[in-house]
Amino acid sequence: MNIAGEIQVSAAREAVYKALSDAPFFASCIEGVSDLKEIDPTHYTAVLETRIAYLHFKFKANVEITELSPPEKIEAKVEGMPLGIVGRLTATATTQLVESGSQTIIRYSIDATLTGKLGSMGEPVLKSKAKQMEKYFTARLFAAFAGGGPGSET
Amino acid sequence: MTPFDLVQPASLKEAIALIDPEDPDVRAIAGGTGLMLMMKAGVFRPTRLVSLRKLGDSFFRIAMAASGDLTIGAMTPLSAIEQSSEVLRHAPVIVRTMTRLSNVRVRNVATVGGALAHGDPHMDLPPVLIALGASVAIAGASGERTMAVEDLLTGYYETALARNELITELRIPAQGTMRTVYFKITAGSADDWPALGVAVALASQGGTVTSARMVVSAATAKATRLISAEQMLIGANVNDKTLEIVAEAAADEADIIADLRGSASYKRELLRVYAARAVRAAMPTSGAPN
Repeated sequence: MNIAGEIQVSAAREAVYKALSDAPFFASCIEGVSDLKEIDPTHYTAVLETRIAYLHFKFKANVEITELSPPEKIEAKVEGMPLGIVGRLTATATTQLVESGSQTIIRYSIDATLTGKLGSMGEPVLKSKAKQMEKYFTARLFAAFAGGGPGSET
Repeated sequence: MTPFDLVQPASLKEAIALIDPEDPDVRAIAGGTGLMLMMKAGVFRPTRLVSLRKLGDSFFRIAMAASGDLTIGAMTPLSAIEQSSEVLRHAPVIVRTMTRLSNVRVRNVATVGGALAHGDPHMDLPPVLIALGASVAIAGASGERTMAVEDLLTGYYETALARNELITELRIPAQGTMRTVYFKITAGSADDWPALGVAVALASQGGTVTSARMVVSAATAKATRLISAEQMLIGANVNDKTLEIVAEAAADEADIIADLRGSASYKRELLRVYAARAVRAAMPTSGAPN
């Protein structure tokens, strides 16, 4: 399954790249992510929780940053083990940053595969959640740049 | 499994009062055939289940009015609907659908209200009921309301019901000359969850369609009407050319999602083939029972 989209931000590409390559900031833009732990600069673990109607999905995720090409591309591999349900989520997420005047277009594409019992339920969940998560991500990103960029206060 | 409270209220009012509208982990349970699967899968961990078992008698009925409208109580088990002569006379498509809906053990326990409130897009009844133009009566803390089944289902396992609202009754209007068919396509056994469900209800005069409802399920996040395909059918003569155009429109229109029972492209192709077959079967010349 592929989930793709575009987000336009009023900020320079370098600044957007810097923000997105900062794992704690990136994780804070994704709804339901908690317990982000850095194993080394390219490996992280986190917990992702999402709700749809009365159903509750919780994943323990291992994230590996597989490519960092400043200032245009970030690629990561995610492996998620759902808690309490048999299955596995594997995903490759590619983020490309394209300059558009003074703005930056973030093009994301996530190729996800779900196996086990999760496979019969997970794909519609991800698909229905994707737009909602994009909205949350965009709002957090905009809020950060409206304040002069993430980390600008430090 | 984490422990939870099980309460068995004796009245509808009491049941509604026991459901916390703010807490998604408190839920009503009727037959439990759907909810138990979710609990076993670990994606629903209730803190309290409000069993509707003691309300069974009050909401178990099948009645046909002189107008031909059919009313079915929400706690009526699917097997009672399957065996009802009123349902067979008024909406035989429901009886035909039941024979491949899970198995008899499930149908003996599962209730029609539960089947609709569960919101699972793979279920067989929602597309059939939407095609029949059915509606539900809903009771909640702030009173009663009615809603078309089509509007009840809002997304993947999501319904328009507030957490403390319960379906009390299913209403199926008189069908007149409408003929309804349901095609269930499974990738596994015949009574498995479908990879695709297609329901079509048609009225026609001399080979020309005068009214049409077409619904897709199991391949989409919720049972969904295919409005463009319906509009192409109305006023058209059903022939190979029309069917090809309508099937193409149906396959283009549906927002198809892959799952374990098939990829999105496979399901889209299934829809293209079965949309045409369902329309043909719903036409009077097909010889299929209405």
